[in-house]
Amino acid sequence: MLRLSSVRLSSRQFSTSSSLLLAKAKHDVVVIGGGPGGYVAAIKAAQLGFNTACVEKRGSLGGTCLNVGCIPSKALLNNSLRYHEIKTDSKKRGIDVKGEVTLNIEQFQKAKDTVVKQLTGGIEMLFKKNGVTYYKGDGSFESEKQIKVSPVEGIKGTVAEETILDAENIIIATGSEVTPFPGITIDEERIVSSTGVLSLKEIPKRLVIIGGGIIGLEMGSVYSRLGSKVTVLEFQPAIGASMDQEIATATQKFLTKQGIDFKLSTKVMGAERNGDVVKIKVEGAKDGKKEELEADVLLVAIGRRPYIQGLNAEEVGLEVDKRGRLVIDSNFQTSHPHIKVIGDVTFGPMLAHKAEEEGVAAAEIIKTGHGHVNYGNIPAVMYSHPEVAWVGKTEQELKKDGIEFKVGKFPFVANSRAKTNLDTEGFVKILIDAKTDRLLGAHIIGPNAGEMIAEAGLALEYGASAEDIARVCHAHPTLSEAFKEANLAAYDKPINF
Amino acid sequence: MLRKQVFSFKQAKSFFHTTNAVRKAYFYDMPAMSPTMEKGGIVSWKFKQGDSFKAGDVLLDIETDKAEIDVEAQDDGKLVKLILNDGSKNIPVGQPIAILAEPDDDITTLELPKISENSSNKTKKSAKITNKSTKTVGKQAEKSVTKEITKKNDYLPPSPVFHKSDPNQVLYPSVAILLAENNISPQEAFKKIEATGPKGKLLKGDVLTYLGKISPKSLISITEYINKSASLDLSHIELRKKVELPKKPEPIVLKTCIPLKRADIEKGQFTKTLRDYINKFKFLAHQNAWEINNNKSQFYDPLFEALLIPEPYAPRFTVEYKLKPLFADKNNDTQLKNDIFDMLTIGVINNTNNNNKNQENYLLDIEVTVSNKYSDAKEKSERFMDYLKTLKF
Repeated sequence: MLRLSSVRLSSRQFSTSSSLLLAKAKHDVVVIGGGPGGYVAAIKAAQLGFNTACVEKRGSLGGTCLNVGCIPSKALLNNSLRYHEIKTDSKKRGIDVKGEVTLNIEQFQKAKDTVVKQLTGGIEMLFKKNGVTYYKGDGSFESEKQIKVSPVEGIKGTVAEETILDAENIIIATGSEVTPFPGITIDEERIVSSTGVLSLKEIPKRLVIIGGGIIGLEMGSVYSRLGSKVTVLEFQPAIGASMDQEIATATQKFLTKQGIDFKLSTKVMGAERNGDVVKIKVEGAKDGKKEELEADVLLVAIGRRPYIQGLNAEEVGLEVDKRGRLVIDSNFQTSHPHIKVIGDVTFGPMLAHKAEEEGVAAAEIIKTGHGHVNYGNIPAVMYSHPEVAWVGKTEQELKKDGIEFKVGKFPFVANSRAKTNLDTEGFVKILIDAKTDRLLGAHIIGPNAGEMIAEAGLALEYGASAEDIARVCHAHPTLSEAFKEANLAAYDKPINF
Repeated sequence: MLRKQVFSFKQAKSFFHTTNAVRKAYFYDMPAMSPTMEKGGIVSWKFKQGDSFKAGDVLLDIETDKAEIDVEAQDDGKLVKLILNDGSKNIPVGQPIAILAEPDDDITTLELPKISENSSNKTKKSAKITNKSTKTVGKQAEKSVTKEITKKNDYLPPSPVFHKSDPNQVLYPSVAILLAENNISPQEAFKKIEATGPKGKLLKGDVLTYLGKISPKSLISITEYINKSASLDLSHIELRKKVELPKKPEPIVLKTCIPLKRADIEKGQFTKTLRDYINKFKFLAHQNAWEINNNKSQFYDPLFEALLIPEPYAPRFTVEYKLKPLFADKNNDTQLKNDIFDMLTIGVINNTNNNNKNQENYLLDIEVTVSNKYSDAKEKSERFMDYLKTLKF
């Protein structure tokens, strides 16, 4: 052997490369990130017949949403609302509570943790059922077509060794992380992010929140119900981020009524922890008036930013925009056609359900070349009480775009079900095109608004006019009648108001 | 397909009347106030000859056998000439009753259409209808349907927002009611009305446009607006400046050449292949301290040592080697650099004179690439090089 090769093939190479020693696997589709976008994409891809793998380094599936976001916060919101209602609202309903109503914070937190555990475990079962290979480890690009999964210390079931995954297609769904406030160090104890605020060991007497967006207002609601004095600081002159202005103003009104303080047009200059007290320096954005606030806990909730740390995305030639988002085309495709990006780490609103839709669409695009997400129809819900929900265009957007529109409104105080529930805060606001009556936007403040908004979504998707909605029979007595009446009001006249 | 588009584009041009230069005055026909209306009378004109009117103004009152109806102008315009005056009766739908022009046209210079042109110059600009009495509509359902809307697509300029109506769709409530009120059967609607809804679904706005109650312009613009917001706006992406990636340190490459004699090989001293030797040396070089340490102190604990070393069994270096034939005979023990030089020069000379095969030598060319991830990689690579030196025959 040696003789032959040495005589004839003098320059033939022999090599014993180190890659022989690395574990290897091959998949049709590798999804990086097991959040609502990633796990849905992985399951869909597997259902479409691809050999699919999902890489997640958190140790449990479900991403921010399930572990430290939407799900645990809703557990806190629901239980705190019940506590608050029993305490303050039961007497007028004819329920006398003998003895003191108290909060068992330990059990309160446990109820939340149980839900999270059940749900994340549920996804793992779904992976098994659909044949998705799950790698618990840190995924990064080794090359355009290779993902390296490295073990993560301290996680049960993490990959035993560095593993290279050869991937035909890659879907990046690495999500987002809390945007830090420059100059404020988050210790998750006294100065917390949206993650730390979910598991406070005691109820703070004073809670100050930087940021009047959805996260800030929801957590403000929770702790205000549990007895904290809550102050919300917002740089903009209005709360609620992308809400319709009229809705935002009404939201601020009912939250103020519930005891939350708002300081709008207020700039936070810095914050420092001093023992068990956090001191926050603020300045009026317009008048420049300086002030110092004290809090037992400070929540920094100014938003989230795309997360691509350690992914090696730029090293394999993916483009990143100024706000840190991975750049895609309308088919979620990057500069490498086999690499797709979905969810918070790319463009569009940072919402779990938007990522889910994109996950399905991306998998379908890999299979058939076609996938569909209607970005004009992505609902948003804030789980305060009453809830605030909206979908489609806001009034200010329509004005800016020069669209002629008609408005229909209906208050819950005129809705029989809301009346019987003694829960009449809020209204439905419907925006339709002035000529064709086509539904353009729906905005709801009210009990169960988050569920009701689905009807608006369906109507938007099918291009329904206000009349189409109003002519559909709605059960009586239900809250959804208010939605019907608002549509009636938009193109004609309401019956019950 | 292409021909059809060109055709409808022409129609669109005459429909929108955007350019006055090519425009002339046009006939205003007796409007159909209901699908079943065949004849009607003029109660009174609300404007005099030469007057300008605005969209939404009531142009005239019309009487049918059932009701008296206001007729609104749909666009701005000017009343050039009245053909039939107040009180005219039994005028068939579609017969010219007046001549209209654009509001800023000069009547004196305007070219008036001839009555005979009528049938070919039918315009749809006619009127928006306000029914004073909705009871009038739909009583005689059996009669043939409206002359006002003749050919399909006539009423629409071309636009990508329109799709063929899906003939199997379930009608939306508003659409069903509008069609019934106007005595249009669903089958007829699917044939004649273009849809803007998803998958060929007819929307309320589509029917309103077909009935002439709203302008196609507003239907097109709102549909375009909604369709546009269905996709992400990716038109203004600003890339961030490429972060200067820290340059990966150049990997350390150790090289050596080991001369071998053909004679040695043939003597059978090469009991194993070269690859076996290399692998053996690799294994030995990768041995960890606790595995090769001979003079252990009493404090030496192999387990503890193992913990200190990250990934103790990961490879620290890679090896590549080539075996090159060398046609020289005197270079066995000289220095490495001279070897290569001599090999190149002498090799050429010997090419012409390679008859003595027993004298042939070989050069084992080895490259070791040291991993930069581990602190002990250099040490282990050097140990490997040392082992290589023992490869002697």
